[in-house]
Amino acid sequence: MGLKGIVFTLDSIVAFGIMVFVISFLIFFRTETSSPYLTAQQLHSMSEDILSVFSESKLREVTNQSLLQQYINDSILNETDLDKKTIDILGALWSAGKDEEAANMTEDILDAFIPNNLGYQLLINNSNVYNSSNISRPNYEDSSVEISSARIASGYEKYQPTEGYVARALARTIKKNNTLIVMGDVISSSVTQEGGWGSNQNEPNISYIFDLPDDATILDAYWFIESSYWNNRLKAYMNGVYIPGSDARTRVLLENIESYIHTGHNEGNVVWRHGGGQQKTGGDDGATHLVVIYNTSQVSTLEEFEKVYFQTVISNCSINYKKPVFVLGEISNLSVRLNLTNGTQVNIVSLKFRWKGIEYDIGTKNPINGVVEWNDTEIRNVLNSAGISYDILDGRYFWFIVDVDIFHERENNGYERKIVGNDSYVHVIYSKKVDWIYNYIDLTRTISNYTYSEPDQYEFYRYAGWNFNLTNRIQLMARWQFPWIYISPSNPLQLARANDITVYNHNPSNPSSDPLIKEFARFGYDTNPEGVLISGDNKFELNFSDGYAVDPENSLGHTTFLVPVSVSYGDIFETEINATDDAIQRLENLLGEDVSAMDITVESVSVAGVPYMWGPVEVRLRMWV
Amino acid sequence: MLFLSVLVIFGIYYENLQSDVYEQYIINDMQRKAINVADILATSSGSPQFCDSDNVEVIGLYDSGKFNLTKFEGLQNISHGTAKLMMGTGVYNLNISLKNETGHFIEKNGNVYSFGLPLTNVKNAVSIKRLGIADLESENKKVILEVILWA
Repeated sequence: MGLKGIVFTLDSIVAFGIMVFVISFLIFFRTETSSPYLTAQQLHSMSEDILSVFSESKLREVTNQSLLQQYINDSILNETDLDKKTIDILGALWSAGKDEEAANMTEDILDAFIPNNLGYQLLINNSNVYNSSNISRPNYEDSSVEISSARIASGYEKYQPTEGYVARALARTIKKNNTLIVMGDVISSSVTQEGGWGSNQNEPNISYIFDLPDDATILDAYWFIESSYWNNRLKAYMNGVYIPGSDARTRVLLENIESYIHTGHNEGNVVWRHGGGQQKTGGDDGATHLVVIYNTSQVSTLEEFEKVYFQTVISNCSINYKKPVFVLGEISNLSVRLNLTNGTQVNIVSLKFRWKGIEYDIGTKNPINGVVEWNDTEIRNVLNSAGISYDILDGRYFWFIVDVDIFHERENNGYERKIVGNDSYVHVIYSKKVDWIYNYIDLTRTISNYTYSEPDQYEFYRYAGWNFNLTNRIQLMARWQFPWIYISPSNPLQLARANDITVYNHNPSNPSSDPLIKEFARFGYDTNPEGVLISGDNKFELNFSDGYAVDPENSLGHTTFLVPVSVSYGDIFETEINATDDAIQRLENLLGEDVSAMDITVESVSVAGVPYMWGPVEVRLRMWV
Repeated sequence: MLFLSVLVIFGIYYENLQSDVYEQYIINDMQRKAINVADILATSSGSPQFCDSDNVEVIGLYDSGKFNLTKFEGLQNISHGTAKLMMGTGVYNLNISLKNETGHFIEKNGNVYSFGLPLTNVKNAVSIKRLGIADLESENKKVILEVILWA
């Protein structure tokens, strides 16, 4: 009997426990406990209300009069501030670094206004102005619901002089260290007899013509020369003087050749000849470059793109001349003229256009009085039928390919063919993007910071990258020339990226990608598309797969940019001398180490009532419970 | 005997729980309605925009960045029942007031800016506050709009 009682008692207790648990469980899910959503909604409404009060109220309407009077006495505020919007004064105090005053004012306005069970914080651009956590309100760290509202605000700065002097400065004469770069074209002419491998005694002569300003001081000069065929021999001359050490095979780097160069017109020549092996042609493989670093007072030294001249070439065999053209501006008209000298025996000259590695026949002509020309219509018609419009050529390399007589790689020595460089050119009519003549100093710099990896063969690599900085510069263009190697008939990847933006992509597995460029001798771009060339750090990268590589050590990258010659009015200064000193300093900072201002004109004017602005800033009110 | 005791205890326990649940439901419902009423009053100019007690369709107290006391006076001319109907407070009574920072009713020209039934024999009440400014004595002052729903 006693055992039964214990059993019933235990049974009832257990039953009770189970029922309580089950009912509580059910009730918990039926009940709408105090909703955080409703709390958040209230906090949001209140934070919005307060920001509206800040925006709509005058300072004197919402702030304790004794505090305002104290700030006026302490010259933190003046009478006119009291009629300004509260948010403007809080922002102005914050922007002037008056953090304590901004905090006191916030507390004065809000502390009695906001219910005591809520915490709040005012932030401007995410920096704390006032946080109620340190008083008797809930601490932010312990909050269960938090919400915030924000407004964008701006206004006049306080404590800045609104009367005084402002100045601007203009560099009337300057000295700049500039770089002149002569890039060799891809030019071939036979040095091997027809049907054999012996020399045909032909020695093609190619000129490298350039002009330096009359006042130039030459600081450094070097010349890298590379033959179109491995083991060919060459000799280099500058202004008719043989450069010792230039009698070389395949390639040569001639350093410190300043003494061979003078101001004004210069003409270098390279004479190519058979090297005794199985070479077919002599000439430039397109990687040759002559670099002259000089100092000048000429503001504008940038070459125009209107006439892109051929180099003078003299050879006793047919000539294959590949001319890369890069134009900065919108092209509206293209024509080609070649002067082959009056009385030339040349019978036939052909012209092709090459875009993205694909060649298009423009036409074949016979010279008339030694001259052959293709006009815009002839070129445009061929390009249009190939779906190429002039506007896609802006800021990219395209090529004209000329054969003077039908080109043969092996050919017997014959009559003289001559392309007269100073009267042979690609004529481009284009609209300039920037009027750099009057307002800017142009500068060209070689890009010497580069890396490479993934070796292919010899000194050729399948990855190369260049880095350069153009901070505070107006970017115009960046261009490269490459010694290259292609293993025919492979179909390798060719990927070029500028600041991680793809600017050329031949993907062997994607037929709709860009075509394969067998002679990747040039690459260049302007600021299009956006982001490829920026005021800041820039990089250019090449990636190839098996079958293609470039030689980064002997590649040449260079960039051309503009530097403004003036700075506009700056801050207001109490004295004229301070304003002019500031303008000169700003101008010198802008010019940087590339340019020295020799004569600066400074204009200063007296101003009054010119306010400074702060903002726009984000004013945020955070509330919690 | 023990079993009967357990049943009785459980009955009381269940009854209390039911009562709590219902009360919580009522409070949440009141809170939701009070937030809506306060939101419309604090952010809407009402409809029509320049309404008075005769032509009002939607009651709003907001005008050009502040509470409009004239609109509040218009509200005071509407009956409590009509206001409840227009604001959708259902069975709950309504009390709306404008107060200053210290919690005192705003007074102007002898008018106390308060509307609705005074709180008597209150079983449940919910208060929602909205902050703003209002034109008092020719200049704006901080005011608190308090909406109380009670039953």
